[in-house]
Amino acid sequence: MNKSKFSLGDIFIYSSLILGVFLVVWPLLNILAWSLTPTKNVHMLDGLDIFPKGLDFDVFKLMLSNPRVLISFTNSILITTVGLCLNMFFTSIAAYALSKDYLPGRNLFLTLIIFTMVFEPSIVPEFIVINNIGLFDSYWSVILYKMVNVYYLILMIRFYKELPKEYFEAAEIDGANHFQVFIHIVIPLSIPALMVIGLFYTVAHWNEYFHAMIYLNDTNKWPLQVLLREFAIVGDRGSMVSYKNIIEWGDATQIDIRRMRAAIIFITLFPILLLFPFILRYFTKGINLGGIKE
Amino acid sequence: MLDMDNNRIKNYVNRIKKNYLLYLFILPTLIFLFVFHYAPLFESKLAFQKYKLIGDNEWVGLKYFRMLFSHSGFYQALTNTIIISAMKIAFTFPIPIILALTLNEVRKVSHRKFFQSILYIPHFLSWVIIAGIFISMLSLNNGAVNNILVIMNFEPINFLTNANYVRWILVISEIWRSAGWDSVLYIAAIYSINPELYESAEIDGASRWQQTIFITLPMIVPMIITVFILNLGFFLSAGFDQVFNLMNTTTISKLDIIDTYVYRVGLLQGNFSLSIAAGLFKGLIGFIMIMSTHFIAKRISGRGLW
Repeated sequence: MNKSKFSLGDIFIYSSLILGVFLVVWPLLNILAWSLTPTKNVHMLDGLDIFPKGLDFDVFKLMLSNPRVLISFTNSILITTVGLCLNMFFTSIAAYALSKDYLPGRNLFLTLIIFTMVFEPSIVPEFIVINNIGLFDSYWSVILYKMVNVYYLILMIRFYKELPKEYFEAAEIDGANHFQVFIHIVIPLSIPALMVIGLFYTVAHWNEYFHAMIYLNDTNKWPLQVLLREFAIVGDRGSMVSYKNIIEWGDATQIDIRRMRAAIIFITLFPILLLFPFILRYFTKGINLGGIKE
Repeated sequence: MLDMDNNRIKNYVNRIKKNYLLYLFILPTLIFLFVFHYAPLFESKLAFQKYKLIGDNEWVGLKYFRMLFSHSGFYQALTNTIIISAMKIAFTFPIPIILALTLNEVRKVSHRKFFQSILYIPHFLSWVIIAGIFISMLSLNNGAVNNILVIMNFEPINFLTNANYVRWILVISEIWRSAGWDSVLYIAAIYSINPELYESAEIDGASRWQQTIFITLPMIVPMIITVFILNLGFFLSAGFDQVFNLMNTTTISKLDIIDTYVYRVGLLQGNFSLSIAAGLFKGLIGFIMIMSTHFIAKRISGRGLW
């Protein structure tokens, strides 16, 4: 048997995987090519092209100087950062407490948590509650409704349960309380696991659009995804206009609309691409945490 | 006897006192669950009431459920949900399995890692972005797919408004987004196969293809069954974000699923009670399906939803 030789099977395997990679990358590069091709050359551009015909950053300049895009970008960053901090803090402390078998009432809490996985209320009652507690049109509506993800909570409970008990027992004998044990012993031991759920939470916040669309009435509070949706999918060109840029935006209509759509799509997905190497790095470490569904 | 009971109660109370900090840790999460899950569940009582702007709502019993079951729009949404879910299970479910088996055959670790990394990317993009990309790729005017059709001498097709194709667009975009990521679980299952099995198979002269079919595949069958059963539990959620972003007024009859129906009737048309009734219907059936699939999966493989 000679394993180093490239057999017919290898050729088949490699070509099908390369095809798969191509199918993933091609649309992304095509979008980028559209956004970078100068408007005067757009007629030369084909739907299949992955290289721009010429290079013009005008549409990115236009988008990144558009007050609407800037505000939305800031909103997305704000929602993601604040949301992530709350997620990490509340998920990890609750998971730690729930990992203690001896805690009276633990099963009741777990049942309450698991029930929310199998029976989800629909959007209208959620809307009514958000309204009743005065969160309508507030950033908090978008941040708080996913303060704790039950799947990640259970993942963390499992992780903490598998930590060797000796670590805590020694500290508890020394008179440390649960909070001290959690901060000084548990957190340092669970960095890889926390990174994994942290990255997933970050992606979830960045990709949020539906609840933001329903709960945020004020367009100045929209995250980027909602703006992208209005502009590129619903097709409302007016969504990019604010009182500050009415005149320049009038000039901008000379720019091919498809280039503008491509640019805003790319601006929205770019932060995810930046995050991606970290996802890969921590995910390979965290994969033995058990199945991650979302 | 009584003394022992007393002791046990004392012991219990002591444990609660000693661990009061742990309860404090759980408290924010419990409040969160009550506000965002249990309070909406309580508000769902509106499905049995007539909403009144002034004064108390009036109890009307099952009126809105009767209205729901006589509403053709609801039947359409239910049918579409079933068709779309069935199509997705039939056509997208096998792809990650095939992909995992293929990736496993790449001997060079660095090559395999490269393929995996790229194939994982789409999973992390929102459906808004993916819809934007698909709208561009499928566009009638200079979209990639129609350019290929024209090269091959076919008539260009407006895929996103053509009732014959829109459901297939859902299947294909689902594959594009999740085939790579969904293969993770199968790859993990393949890693845990005992390498001795392959060694002895090699001694017996089994080819690579035979090893894949007779060792790898059977060894991951429990994982395949588990994932399949758990997917079945979510049969009535045919992918709200995807449908919501790829649907337009011309394709509503083919794409409207229960979740989009609930949204439209409730938040766009303002018929709260009818919408909640539809949501409760879906929630109840979903509850039964998720619970039963969970227990079946747990029974078969020891691995359920939680």
